[in-house]
Amino acid sequence: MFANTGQGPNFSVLEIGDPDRVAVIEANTAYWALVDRHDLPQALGGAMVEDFLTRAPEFATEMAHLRSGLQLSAVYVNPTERCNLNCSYCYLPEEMRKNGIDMGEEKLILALERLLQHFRKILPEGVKPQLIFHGSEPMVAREAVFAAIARFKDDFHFGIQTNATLLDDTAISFLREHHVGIGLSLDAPTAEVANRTRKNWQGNGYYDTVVSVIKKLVDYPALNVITTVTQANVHTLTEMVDFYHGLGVRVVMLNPVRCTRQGGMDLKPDNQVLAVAFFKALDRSFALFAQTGRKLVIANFANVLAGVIGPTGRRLMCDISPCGGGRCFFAVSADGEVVPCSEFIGMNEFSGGNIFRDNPADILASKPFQEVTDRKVEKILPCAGCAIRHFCGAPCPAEIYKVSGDINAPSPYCSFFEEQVRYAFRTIAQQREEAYLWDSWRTETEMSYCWK
Amino acid sequence: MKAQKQIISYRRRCNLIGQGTGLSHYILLTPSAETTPEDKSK
Ligand code: SF4
Ligand code: SF4
Repeated sequence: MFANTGQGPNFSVLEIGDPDRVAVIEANTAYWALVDRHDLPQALGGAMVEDFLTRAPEFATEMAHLRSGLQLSAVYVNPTERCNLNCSYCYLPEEMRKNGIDMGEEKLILALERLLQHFRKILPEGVKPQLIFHGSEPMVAREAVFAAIARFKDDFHFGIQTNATLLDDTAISFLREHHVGIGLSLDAPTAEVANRTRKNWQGNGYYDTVVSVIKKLVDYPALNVITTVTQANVHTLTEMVDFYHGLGVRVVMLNPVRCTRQGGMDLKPDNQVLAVAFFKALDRSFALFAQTGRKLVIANFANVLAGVIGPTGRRLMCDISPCGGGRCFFAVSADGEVVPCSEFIGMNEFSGGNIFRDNPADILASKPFQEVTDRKVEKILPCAGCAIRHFCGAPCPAEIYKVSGDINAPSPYCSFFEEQVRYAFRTIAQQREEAYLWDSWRTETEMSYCWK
Repeated sequence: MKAQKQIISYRRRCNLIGQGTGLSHYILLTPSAETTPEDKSK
């Protein structure tokens, strides 16, 4: 039996930049093998092909489940439209952030009640859904948010994504006591660069405040820090890794800015510049781990690596198509409108209904949601023929809709994503996976296939 | 001549599928602040 003819599988060969090995990939099932570059003929016929074919149905079933069988398990709620900051690349409309409405405590509690009823019907007993307060800035609606957390503490795993500027000591103690996951944003290791993009309406930055909050929370197991990578800070990523590692931070995301709004588009780093800077930062995190035994997980890369190692091992759902928006989670805006993901907030054409009027099940089945959950790489060129399509996912529909007016188009970050997957394969070739993945990765997953 | 490198090919499966998978779009909520039965690391 041979690959690429007759009944044989379609094996693509990918140059990964490793001196010894290339990757052989069967794209539909997300199967891969790293093979000595002088040994390719053996990989394209014989035992490896036979072995793949015996396991292919199982891999295909797993992919189908991941891509269309998952339940809703998380909801993002914006308790207010307002924000006390005015970051240059924010994906939310400016007028909304400046003068927008609040949901208010009573309605927030009603919304959570309605969501909980839905989750009770669909989730197995004992599994708690995730509820993440998201922005604008949720701490602007602190009283309502804290009342909801206290009331539903046994029903949801809570998280809050905040700019940290309103987190005083009382708020921090409350969030710790209630085991709330905390995501903070910081864009650079120095005030000068960080304050360029993240600032208030008067143009003042909050670097010092954010760093002091990170220091207070650094021992907290559920702290994540997000750095949005733009032209302004792309050259500081390696320093950023040193800075976070020095502070004792354990998980960060170095997320390339989404081009969902003009501000983001204007600040988008060049893909090649981004790739070089991002991989230097990853190399640095590896070196720091080797030197100190203490790991700084760069979670957006770790998720891509986890998705290569085992498609169902990923936690973040941007790099698979359809993405998680509108099926694994959705976002509720302050007026109750429900969109597939927070990235769609403010795009009313993607509203699937209103949480105060419609059932979550109907919202999930609505036409705008289906448009997003139907966005598959198979429908997009050049993604349909791309060997790494299930390691990349061609995100993000909201961003791509804004950039090209059609969600079934490729990503402005395509060439960066290609490089990122190559880096992931090099990591595997060097057997360095452990250095990049979060600590509970091994216990959360098990080996389901291993060559020989 | 250099010795040929072994083939590396493996796949892992999440044993929290449906619970751990698909949680979020960019906030990695692990490690969770709450200890789950599957997570014995804390
Ligand atoms: S965006 Fe680019 S790298 Fe990603 S699947 Fe499409 S073609 Fe492949
Ligand atoms: S790809 Fe975009 S819409 Fe989909 S989950 Fe990620 S941020 Fe949300």
